[in-house]
Amino acid sequence: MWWRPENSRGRVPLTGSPLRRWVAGAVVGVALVAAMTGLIWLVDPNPPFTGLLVLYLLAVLPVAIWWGAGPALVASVSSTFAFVLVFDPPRPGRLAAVTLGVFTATSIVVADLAAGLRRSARESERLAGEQSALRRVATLVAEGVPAADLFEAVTREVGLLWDADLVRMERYEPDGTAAGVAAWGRSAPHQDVDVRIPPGEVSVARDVRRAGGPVRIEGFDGVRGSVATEARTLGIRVSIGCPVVVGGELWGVIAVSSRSPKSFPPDTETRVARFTELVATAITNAESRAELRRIADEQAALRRVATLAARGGDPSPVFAAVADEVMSLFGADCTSILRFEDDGTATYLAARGWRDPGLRRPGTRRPSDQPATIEAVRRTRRPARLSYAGLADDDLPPSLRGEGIRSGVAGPILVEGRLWGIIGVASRGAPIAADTEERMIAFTEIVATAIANTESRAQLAASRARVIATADATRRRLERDLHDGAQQRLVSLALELRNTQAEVPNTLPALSGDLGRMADDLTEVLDELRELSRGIHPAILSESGLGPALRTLARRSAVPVELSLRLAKRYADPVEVAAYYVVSEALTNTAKHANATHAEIVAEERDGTLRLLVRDDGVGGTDLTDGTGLAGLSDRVEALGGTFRITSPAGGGTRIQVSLPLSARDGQGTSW
Amino acid sequence: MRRCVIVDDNERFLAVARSSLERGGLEVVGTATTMTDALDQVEALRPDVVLVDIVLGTESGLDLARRIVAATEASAPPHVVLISTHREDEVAELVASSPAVGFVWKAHLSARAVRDVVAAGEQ
Repeated sequence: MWWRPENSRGRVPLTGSPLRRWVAGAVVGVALVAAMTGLIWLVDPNPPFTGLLVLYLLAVLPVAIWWGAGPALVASVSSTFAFVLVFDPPRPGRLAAVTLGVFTATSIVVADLAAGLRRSARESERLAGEQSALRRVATLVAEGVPAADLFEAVTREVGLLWDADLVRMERYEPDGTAAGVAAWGRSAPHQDVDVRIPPGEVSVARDVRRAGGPVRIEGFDGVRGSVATEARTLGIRVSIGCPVVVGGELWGVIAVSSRSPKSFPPDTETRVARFTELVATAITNAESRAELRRIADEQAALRRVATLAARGGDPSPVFAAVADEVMSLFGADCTSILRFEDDGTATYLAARGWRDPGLRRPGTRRPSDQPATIEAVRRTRRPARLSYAGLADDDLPPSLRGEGIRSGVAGPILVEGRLWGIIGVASRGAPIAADTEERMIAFTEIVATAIANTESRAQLAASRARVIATADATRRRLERDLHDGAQQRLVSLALELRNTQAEVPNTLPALSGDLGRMADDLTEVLDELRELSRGIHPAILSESGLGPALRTLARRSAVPVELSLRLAKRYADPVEVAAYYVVSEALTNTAKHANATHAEIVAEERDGTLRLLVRDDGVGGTDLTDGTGLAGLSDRVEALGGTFRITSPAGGGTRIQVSLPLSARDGQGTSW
Repeated sequence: MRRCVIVDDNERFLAVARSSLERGGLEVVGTATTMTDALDQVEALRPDVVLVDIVLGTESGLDLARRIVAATEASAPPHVVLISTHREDEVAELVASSPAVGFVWKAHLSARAVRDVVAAGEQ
């Protein structure tokens, strides 16, 4: 619209001091009247009276519209004088009075109308501006833009709408301070956002918190404190503050300030509140989204480590994964997982984020160290939290010196009721979140489960190994007893019979023949007994070790065997026995079922492990469930901590791979 | 080749074996049940043949065979023949890797069997 000012401060002709405006209007009015008089005189030096009145109104009305009734009155008087003086009408006194009366009335009415129109136009424009600003902010809220972007947008919109010089948004922190989250400034757009206002200091934030509602501060003159000082430096004359209430709680405040004392109309507070409501909605949304995301992240992390833990075996990967997950989930700078030792020390199992990782490699001992969360957990068996803020480096426990840690939280790992170790997180910046202890429990429990599983698996394996070793020892003794007892006696008996047979005179051939047959029978019994005894325990294995025993197996095999051995002379009994039986059973299987023409045996020691490979070119199709002795052997191998793999595709031969760890395992002295 | 020493941890077998071998013309000049005893006898008696049981209780006849040969290396060592209640196919690896000239199954022990093994080993 043509009367629309540029903004509420406007530009000429509606701005400037009222007097100047008034004078300007009067001058323009007089000039218009002069111009009109000249125009009329040029056209017709003796014009009709009625026409002239209308023409002069054309000069007066614009002045009334633009500059108001006062200057219009000047224009009206000028018109009257000009008309009377220039055109010399009859009865000038009466004409002048009528003209002046009509013009004045018209001017006042028109000026009032124009002013009203302008006011409502301004108001509706301001409302439109406010509505579109609200809409823009609402769109941002709906889009779920990052909180910092939204806060920045709100401060800017509010600042532009109310023609402010400075807008700040601050959040109330648990420690009572108010932390800046966004700022907008007309003259200095890059305000220092990250300012913390101490509680109690005179500020909009303090007053809003006290009042529990909107406040207005008229000037900071004579007030002490950093906020007041800064306000004076910036020339702030008036500030209003509106609370941001999220979920019924006072969350923060928007402070709008201006250098002009008359800047904010009385309804500004309620109108700014519309923006704070949007901010509150956005914060609620963002918080619930963040909460959802946090829960989702936490669940995903838990699932990942639980999957690892369920995989069993060495729990070291579980420790490493938990350390990674815990650090990122809890926003920590460092994390450690330790196992308590009986002597008061602890052993690092995993550590992340430390400046001195050398102290914290897996397996490194950590001496008892005070004050530290780990010692508190050891004492109380409960989660512990410590703040190191404000402590000189020398006052810190040695392990934390130079790490810049300000706070730490540790939770106990309880394995079947025993205090086994801890998971600890530490921060160099803001304190670790208050609910960390609780959230950490899920992770300490997974670690505890992984450890319990590993321990029970190790115990089970040890117990299986013991059962097998006991059985082996029994069989070995049986074999030895057979050898030393029955076999020896039968051998001697057979020899004696032959001796006796030799003593029999030639005259008794029948007796000699009987004795010979008895000796032969005895020899057969001996052979049977020998077979039996070998099935109980391979004597050659205990006698001379795995290499000769495997060579004997290969030589005795019905299917030709290619043998490749790279072995030490002797291994632990359970390893030798297991390896012997694996090869023996595999060869038996090959001979019985495989219809093979060739078999191969590779046995070698590599990287602390005895590796066996038995394969044939037979029909394949063997598996551990078809009642061969292989299933029992798989158990035997696993009881020793080894692995047993069989691949036997139909038509593709059979391949059995076994690895047996050579380091003794007692099931308790686990390597981690 | 006449003089023979038998090493076995079973006394009864020693007696039976002695009578069996002597019937066949071998003179059993000594018997032993342990490794130390056996080495002493071999040292003192200088037999032509030593029959050694592969399993000497807790000791190993294979070790004994090696030590007999090692101890008498300078002079002419006796022929060591390994014996056992195990059959030959079970212990062939051990016999082959030992300095013994051969193996006789205990149930088939006779002077003739010993002579045959020694003769075969000498070829």
